[in-house]
Amino acid sequence: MSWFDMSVLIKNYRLLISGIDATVAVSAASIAAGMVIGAIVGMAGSSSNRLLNWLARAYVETFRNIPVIILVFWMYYALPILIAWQANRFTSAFLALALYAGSYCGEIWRSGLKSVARHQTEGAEALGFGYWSSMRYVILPQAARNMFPSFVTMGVDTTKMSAVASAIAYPELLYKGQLVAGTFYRPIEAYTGVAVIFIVIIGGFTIAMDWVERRLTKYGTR
Amino acid sequence: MTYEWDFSQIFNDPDVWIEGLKGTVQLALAGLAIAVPVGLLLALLRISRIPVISYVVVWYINLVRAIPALVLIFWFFFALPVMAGVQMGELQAASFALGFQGAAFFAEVFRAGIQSVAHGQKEAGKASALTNRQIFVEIILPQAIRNSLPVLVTMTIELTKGTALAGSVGFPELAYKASELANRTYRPLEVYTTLALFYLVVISLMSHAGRILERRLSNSQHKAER
Repeated sequence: MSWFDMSVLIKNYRLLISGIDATVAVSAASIAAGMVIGAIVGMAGSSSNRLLNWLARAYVETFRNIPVIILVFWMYYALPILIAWQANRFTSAFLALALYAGSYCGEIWRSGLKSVARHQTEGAEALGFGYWSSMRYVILPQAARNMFPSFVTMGVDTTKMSAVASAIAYPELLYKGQLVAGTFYRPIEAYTGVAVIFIVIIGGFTIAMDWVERRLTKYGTR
Repeated sequence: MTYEWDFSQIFNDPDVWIEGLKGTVQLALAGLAIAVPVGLLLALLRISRIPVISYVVVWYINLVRAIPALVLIFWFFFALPVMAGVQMGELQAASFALGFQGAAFFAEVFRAGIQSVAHGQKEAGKASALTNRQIFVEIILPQAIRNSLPVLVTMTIELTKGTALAGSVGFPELAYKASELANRTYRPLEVYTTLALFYLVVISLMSHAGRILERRLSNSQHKAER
């Protein structure tokens, strides 16, 4: 018996692929939702309204400072008691990760909006743009390029974080790895395999996004 | 239906929380005890430009950072003992995982810190006839560590948040103790809300302290430059 037996991974490739599916599904949904939440929080945080500022600050501090695994537990075990509705495993993990990603993105949006020089807003105003149209045509196109690398980091972080969903038995990659490890008594192969798959997913995502970023800077005027 | 909140049961036995807190602090310190020295070593090796070694270190740093902390904890707890034929407790496995991953993050912070020290400092050291070692240990390193302190605080906070993952392999930290308590008292709402609030307060205080430190450092920096 060799100490590293690849065949246990190859035999269970369907299981692992379904795990990758679930990881990607919950990560992608959370990243997308997080970016939307972040846009709202970031605009609130950079507005001149004190109350909105404070609310944005409170949101970011709250979901940044509570470990995601505790948010996941809270969504899965505590929330149902409060609202008398049991979210399924996907929804619980999604809610926790999206709130976390939202707090991360809130800061990205806030500093992204701040990164666009003030006279751009004033210029748009002078040309008769309202808040939303100056956002749409003047501020956002410039801010987007500045924010892009931070969003990539956030995406990587959220994807890695999604492994905590295994704690409520959401069938993502790590959970599938646990199944393989437990069923075949092959912890080395299972957990090394899971780690390698994560490296490939994260690495592939980073490389793809670097490429996108290069194109953005190539065709955009900075 | 309105739910009646009842916190009395979950605080009947405060020892549960205290023990959990002890576990969390113990694990955070153990993780830091690995992450800081190993991180510094990795940073030094990376900037050393020793042909093969600095290359290997770059790969180590990039690979380890791409693995979820929870996966590493499982790997150290379930895979490594079988592979290396050693016994590994929950505390050891979790602190190795958090420590060695933390080291990869700390290494980048230290590297940035070392490279942030102005080049003139090194030249001045040379002009004063100090040896390379003296220049590094007595001139560059103190400034590098000082420059990277605020980020080190952030990293320490991340590591502390990471300790909550160790409950998954049965290490009795706060989250683990809390889930036991939730099962025993059938009060998950109160237990997990308390747990979340506790982390919120502690981590907020830590990051607040980090911000104060950052402000102080940049103030004294300006003074020094004047």
